[in-house]
Amino acid sequence: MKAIQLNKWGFILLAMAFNAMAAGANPEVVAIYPRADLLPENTLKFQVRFNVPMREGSFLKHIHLESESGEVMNGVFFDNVYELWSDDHRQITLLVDPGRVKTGLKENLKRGRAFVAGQKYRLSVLGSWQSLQGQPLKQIYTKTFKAVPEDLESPDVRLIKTGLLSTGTTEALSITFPEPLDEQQIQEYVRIVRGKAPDHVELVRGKFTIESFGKALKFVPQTPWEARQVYTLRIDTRLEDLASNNLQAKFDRPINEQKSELYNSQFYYQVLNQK
Amino acid sequence: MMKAKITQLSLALAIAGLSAMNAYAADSAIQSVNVLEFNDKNVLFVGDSKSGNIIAYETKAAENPKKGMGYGLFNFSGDIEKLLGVKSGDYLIKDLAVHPVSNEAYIALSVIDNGKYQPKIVIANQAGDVRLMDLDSKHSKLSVKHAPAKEFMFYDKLNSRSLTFTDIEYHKGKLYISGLSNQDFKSSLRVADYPFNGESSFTSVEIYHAMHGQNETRAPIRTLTIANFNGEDHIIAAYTCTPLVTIPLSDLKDGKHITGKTVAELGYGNTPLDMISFTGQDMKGNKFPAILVTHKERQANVLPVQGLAAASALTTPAGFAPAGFTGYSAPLSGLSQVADQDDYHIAALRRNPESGKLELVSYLKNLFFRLSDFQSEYEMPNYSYTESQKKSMKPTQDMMKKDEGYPTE
Repeated sequence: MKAIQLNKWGFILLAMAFNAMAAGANPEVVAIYPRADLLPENTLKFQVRFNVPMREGSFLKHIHLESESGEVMNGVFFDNVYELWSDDHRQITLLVDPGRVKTGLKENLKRGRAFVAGQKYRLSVLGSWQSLQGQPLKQIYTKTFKAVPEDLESPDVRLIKTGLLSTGTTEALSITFPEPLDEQQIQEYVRIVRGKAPDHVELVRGKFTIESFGKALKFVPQTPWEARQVYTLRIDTRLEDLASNNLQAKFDRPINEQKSELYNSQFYYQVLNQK
Repeated sequence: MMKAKITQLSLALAIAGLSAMNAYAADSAIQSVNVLEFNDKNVLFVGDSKSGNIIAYETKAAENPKKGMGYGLFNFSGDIEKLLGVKSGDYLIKDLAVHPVSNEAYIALSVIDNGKYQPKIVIANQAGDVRLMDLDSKHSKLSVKHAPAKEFMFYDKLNSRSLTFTDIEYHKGKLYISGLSNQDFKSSLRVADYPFNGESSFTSVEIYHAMHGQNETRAPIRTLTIANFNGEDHIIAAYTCTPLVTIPLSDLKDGKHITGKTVAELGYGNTPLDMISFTGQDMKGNKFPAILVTHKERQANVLPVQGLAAASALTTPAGFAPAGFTGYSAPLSGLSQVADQDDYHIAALRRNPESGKLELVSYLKNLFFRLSDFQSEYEMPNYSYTESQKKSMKPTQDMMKKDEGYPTE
């Protein structure tokens, strides 16, 4: 009897879930990136991630930015002809008008940067935003952050710290960056490889976990670290910090400045040491 | 016990249903339509950002009795909604292209259907006939997806990378493809042969901008075209924050960084929409190759190619006004999409500011306005043209009226 009742509840729950799917429950914002609270005043992009696919078109109507004193800030995000949605339509990238972020462009000279070091800001995603099913957001979602001085330098690869490998175990490898990096890119651009870099490498399977809002990373291999293998951290040099300086080059670079050693390389490699 | 079986069965059916939907999506030729571009004959290139493919359809040029006439479809949104059976707000307009042989307009759409944006291409002619293009018709594909998707299986998170194609230009058997990534702020300019051979090359283009001397910077290309000057074909690229840059085609080499020459800044707070190469004509009737750059916020620019050839690189900030070689302005504004229609017209999609309806209209090249958009004293019943107006202005007005479908006296 008890078993039948459980099944009944299971059936009802399943029916409710299907009804909710059909009608379209109110969508939610899962995260607003960068998740850090301190952002350089030349931060170039924000990403808003939803739990379901959302409607495209006039995204700026659903975004509200204000200063600490409550002053509404318009003209900060770039009104691109193309909205930058992920393929699953659950994440949109908001670009801060590059004309204001880059030094020396007219918009920058005229209006300056949107964010000023030391000031606090509130970025809100409004309830008017609808899912593809036509349901508005469950509530207003807000991220509060404080601007810190501009970041005009590439992340310094010499300051990337890696833990020691514990051979014979699947103990996590820790990786620490000198500053928070773009979390979306970390997922795609950071890998552990084994073999002789750069030509004879194979990807090590395992799972990464991003920590400290993009400043650190943990990697747990599927199979134990082997003592006779050479393991290497491999990072695609397009990996950017929050101000879009990547490992190859600064976002803005004086033309006569000497180029980084990584300028024309696709990858940066760092051999991992064993305990 | 019976109920438990039913539950399992319904769950199994639901899963089977979902799998069937996925299989269907994977089998269809195309997952999204972002950019449309014709070659000089019947081939329609479609930029499918979602699958990362460029798809080339071999279209058949349809009979079009009104070929050569201007478009004047003032309830085009109504036509689309009736054809597709959708409400306004349930679809997005992605691009417009005109078939070089039949002169029919092809409009790329994303339509909400079954919880997803589905790709559609609507074909319209000047008579207002609309139909859907068969997206499973004969085609070939080129994958230009950057990253192999398999690598992401290690993660418990969904990959959120996407590359949005922003423009495709066909020139002498090659496709020049620009794109905008939602993750990396950089240019991505790809070149591929057509017919496709499975390969495309990638060049990273940097541009100069001025501050404390010159800076190099990464930026995505918004729209591009190709022009020949100084004995060489050049890409003319408009960037998202409107610098205009020229790059000799011979500079494009796979996997290399190159720096384009910035010849103009067309104004801040603005996004360029499209660029069209056409034959310009001045008041004296002299003809010259030119490029029309239309913008989201500003009036359009007409850039005579000769001027681009002679333009020097921008090196210093020049106040807040547009700087460098900006040609002359054309009164085109408020358009959402533009396309080269024929020797005499450009076609455009625009919203009626009062009704909000989408209109598909044409503009005459070199005039760049529609006479019927304006109420002028010439149209008053008691207005009489002077002799000189009869010679100079009235013939032009009559030509425009005829082209826009209005009677002439």
